Amino acid sequence: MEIPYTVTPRPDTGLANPKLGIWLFLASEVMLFGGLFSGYIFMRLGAEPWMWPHGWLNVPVGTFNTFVLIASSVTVILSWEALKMRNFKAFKGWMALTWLCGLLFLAVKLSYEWPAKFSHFGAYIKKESAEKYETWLGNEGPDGRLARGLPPRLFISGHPKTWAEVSDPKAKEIVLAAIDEENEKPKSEENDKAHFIPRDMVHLHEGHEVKLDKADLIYGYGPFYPKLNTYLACYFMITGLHGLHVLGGVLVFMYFWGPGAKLYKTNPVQFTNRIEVSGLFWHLVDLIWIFVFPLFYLL
Amino acid sequence: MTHAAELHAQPEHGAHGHHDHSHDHHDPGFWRKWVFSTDHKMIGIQYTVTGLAFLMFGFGLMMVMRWSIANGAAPFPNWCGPFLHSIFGDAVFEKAFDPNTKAFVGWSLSTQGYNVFGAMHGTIMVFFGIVPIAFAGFANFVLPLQIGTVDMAFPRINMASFWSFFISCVIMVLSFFVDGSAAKSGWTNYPPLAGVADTGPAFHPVMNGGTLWLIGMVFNITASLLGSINFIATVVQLRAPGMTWGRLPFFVWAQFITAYLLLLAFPPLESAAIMNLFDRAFGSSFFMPTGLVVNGMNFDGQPLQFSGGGSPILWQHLFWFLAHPEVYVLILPGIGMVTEIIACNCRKPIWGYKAMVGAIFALAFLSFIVWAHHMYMTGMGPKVSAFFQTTTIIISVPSVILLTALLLSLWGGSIRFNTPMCFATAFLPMFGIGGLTGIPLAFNAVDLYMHDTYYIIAHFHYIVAPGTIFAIFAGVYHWFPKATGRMMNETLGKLHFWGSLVAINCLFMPMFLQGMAGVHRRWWDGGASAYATTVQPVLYWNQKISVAAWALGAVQLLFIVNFCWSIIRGKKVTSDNPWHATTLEWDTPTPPPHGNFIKEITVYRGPYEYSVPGADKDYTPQSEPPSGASAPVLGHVAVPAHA
Amino acid sequence: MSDPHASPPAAAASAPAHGESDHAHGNYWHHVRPYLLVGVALFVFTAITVGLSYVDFDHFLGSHGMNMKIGLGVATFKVCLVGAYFMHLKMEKGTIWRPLVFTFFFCAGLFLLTLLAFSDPIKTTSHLFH
Repeated sequence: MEIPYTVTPRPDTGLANPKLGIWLFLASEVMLFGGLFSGYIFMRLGAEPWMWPHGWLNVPVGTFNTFVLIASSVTVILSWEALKMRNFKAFKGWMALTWLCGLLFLAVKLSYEWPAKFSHFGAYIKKESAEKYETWLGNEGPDGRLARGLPPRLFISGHPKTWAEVSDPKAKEIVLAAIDEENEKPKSEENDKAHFIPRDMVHLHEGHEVKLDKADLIYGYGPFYPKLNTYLACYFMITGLHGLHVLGGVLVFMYFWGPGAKLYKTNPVQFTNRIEVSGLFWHLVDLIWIFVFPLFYLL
Repeated sequence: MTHAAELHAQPEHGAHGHHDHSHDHHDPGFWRKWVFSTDHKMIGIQYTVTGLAFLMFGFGLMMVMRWSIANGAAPFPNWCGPFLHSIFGDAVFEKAFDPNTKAFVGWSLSTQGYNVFGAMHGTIMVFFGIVPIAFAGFANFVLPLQIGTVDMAFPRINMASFWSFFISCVIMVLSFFVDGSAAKSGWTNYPPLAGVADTGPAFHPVMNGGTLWLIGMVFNITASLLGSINFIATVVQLRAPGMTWGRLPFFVWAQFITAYLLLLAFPPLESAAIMNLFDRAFGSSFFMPTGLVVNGMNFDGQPLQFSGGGSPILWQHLFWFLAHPEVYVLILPGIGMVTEIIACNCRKPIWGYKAMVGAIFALAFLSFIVWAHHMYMTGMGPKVSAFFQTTTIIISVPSVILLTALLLSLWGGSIRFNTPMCFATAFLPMFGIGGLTGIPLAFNAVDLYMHDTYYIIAHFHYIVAPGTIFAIFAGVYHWFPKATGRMMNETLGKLHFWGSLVAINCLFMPMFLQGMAGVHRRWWDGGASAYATTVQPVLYWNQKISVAAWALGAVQLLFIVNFCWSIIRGKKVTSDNPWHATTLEWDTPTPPPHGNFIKEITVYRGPYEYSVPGADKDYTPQSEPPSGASAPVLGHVAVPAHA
Repeated sequence: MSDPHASPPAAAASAPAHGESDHAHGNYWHHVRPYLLVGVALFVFTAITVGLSYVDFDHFLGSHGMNMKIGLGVATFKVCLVGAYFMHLKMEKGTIWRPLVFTFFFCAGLFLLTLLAFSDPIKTTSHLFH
């Protein structure tokens, strides 16, 4: 009992079954990320002006990751073309490059981008307590944000002296040993622009640290976790899910490069089709990143 | 088709393992045959049996709720209270005390317990009952047979789809037994409640009802998506030679469109479920608005521990974007089954086949742009409201076309009122009532009054209960002989039919009256303690409706007994085509073997060639060669075609 | 895509199969040229996207949200390149195109209708008798 058109295409549709199957799956993935992006749109539209940040992500690193993913899209298709020409060695080479690029993408994200967020501290100040922290918020006065027609800054970020007091319910205040330039020089107009690379924090001398009373802070203060604001919630959710898809693709490619390549000897046509079909999935992963990158890093 | 590639042994493909394909009749062993099967018929049966079990479970939850609606906090009678308490525990059942003597008098459903049962009744009936049976179960079994092919396009994905569904079943059942019991925020799971319920120091971060509901839904949605891909690819690619799109049985069209609805509509709900999971697990604020204060549930009137900035309405948009097409997913397979049964038992073709196919295309397309008619009360302005009112009214047209075509199909028919036909015929007016009572709801001015009342409950239950579930019963009685080789008992079937028809109308018809009088949904005591003066005149129906519900439950025992008994001792069929039907699934041995057909299938004509003038019998099977050809037609009680 | 090479490969996996040798290699680069060109285009447009994001178009043109429109416009163009060439959509028939068209239509409906609902709320209640 053979299922027809598993490998050879059906004449009237011009498709073999797996190709139609993967395109249907990709259609559902488009709707899935469509739902996630609609989350992004409504979080952004619904955020208070001072709660949707810009310039928190490292643009060169993000651009590098974009290049890596585009390169892997090219190499996967080169590996498929090599298979069509029955050049197994070239297939192996291009396929190895593909999953290596995928791993590199994940490595950059998981070893630098995400940890950089987790090790950074941020806190939103309640509107009524903002005056206490005016030195680092820069809202009042003739050259303050309000005078310049900008929404007030209500966010202080940096590095706490000890992380323990952030989560300790008995600790009443948090001492910041380093703060970001936006808070160090809050009235500088330079700070209103998004920057290519998040700038270094400024270390504060002993005795001149910033003391934040927990009662003045909106819930969610702490590391740059999803609970800090909706931007981070969107960022981690979308890049996390995208990353899971990258991982899935990498695993599939490693399988086809390694043990799965046995099929080439017995049925090269079917094997070639499998590479084409998984390549289509990989291109969708690249497509999604093409939207994620500007939305989170640039705009 | 070329066989060059297919002659190679493919170790990864199918359940055959390393066997050569010329030996098709080897025994795959117990586990591969009954549990981890890739055969679409076994998977269909697995889905159907699991779904029927959940349908009964969900029905049971409702029967318990109806006691609470009719009798408020009064304890359950006799052994029921202790029995229910022993299963579901203290989160759901609480002790009832005599108000005067303060003595313990029994167990009653707590208010939170009512919420749990209500939310899970809805979830289970929709996602674990109807969709697995009507879509996954029946389509898996019947569809490949009806298009004349050997299996689904992706058998292993088919199996994976069932097991993903099974995992979701386990999670949902498990959720009843964690602290706080199962999800209680409605089957619609609206935030902010859905973000805070079952959270806090008294609850486990993951093993709580609300979070388990979300995780279970993710597995359920995955199963649906994998299944949809399979059905669409199968219908597009694997139709037998001669089976053109215009010759497809309407059942196949209905399932095909249903698969597309699931494929494109489910993912936004999956994305919303992930966002809700983030809110619950990581404290994010996708759906938590700024400044919300919660009383009770350990929150003590404090501002909520979320950063704010989220939008509860966004959940509603994403949820209803799925849930509206979902209601068409609930009805279309039923319409498909009813169409087959009506054609077969009227001995004449379906009236308006092309119109019906066009109607389901229109229905599917429009179903994606009507969803906010579930959200008229969320403060949408006139422009967006007008849009959704318009599209909702337009979508009633294809539904009426479908119903009218089926009604007209009865006209002039030589009708055999066997049990499947009884259910299929009753489907028509029941679906009619359900659909027509929906039309006023398209207008937000009406919905202003009717939203969240018993009118809505009656409206949608008429469509799914005496609608789809009757269609499912019809389908079970109709295809049972093909699946098992035995007939179900006609007497029990007729009793089941009449009992169900009467009970279900007594159950749901009065709800229209209650709804129009203003009785709200989801009131644990049926309204006795709330707004008692305005709705008091209709509250006496509660007791009667509850009795009808329990009677309906009792009648289903006839079906269960019939089903189980007939599998073992039912009257054996005397032919492979006991109903004398034209479609291809009756062209197989009974039950169909692995690979389905024992001859090459070619389709020569449309699916409803009943009572063709000049033919020698009153049905002409699709695969029977035109008269004059000599190909033997196996498995028919038929005179060989001759000039 | 159908593949005419349906017969078993030669024993040595490393040697080019079916007796095609240099012809195959020359053909290979000719075949993959479009992909490499598209790859380079994607690199270039990525760089352009990054560059454009640092120009404040609203300031020059007095518009609103122009940066977002340009950024998403360029991204859409890149997506079309990937879809058309890498995913071979240019060569596919209706069986693939039709579901995709509907997918994009419904996705657009999800965004636009939800946006419409958010942008068109009921603004005030009626205070007819106060």
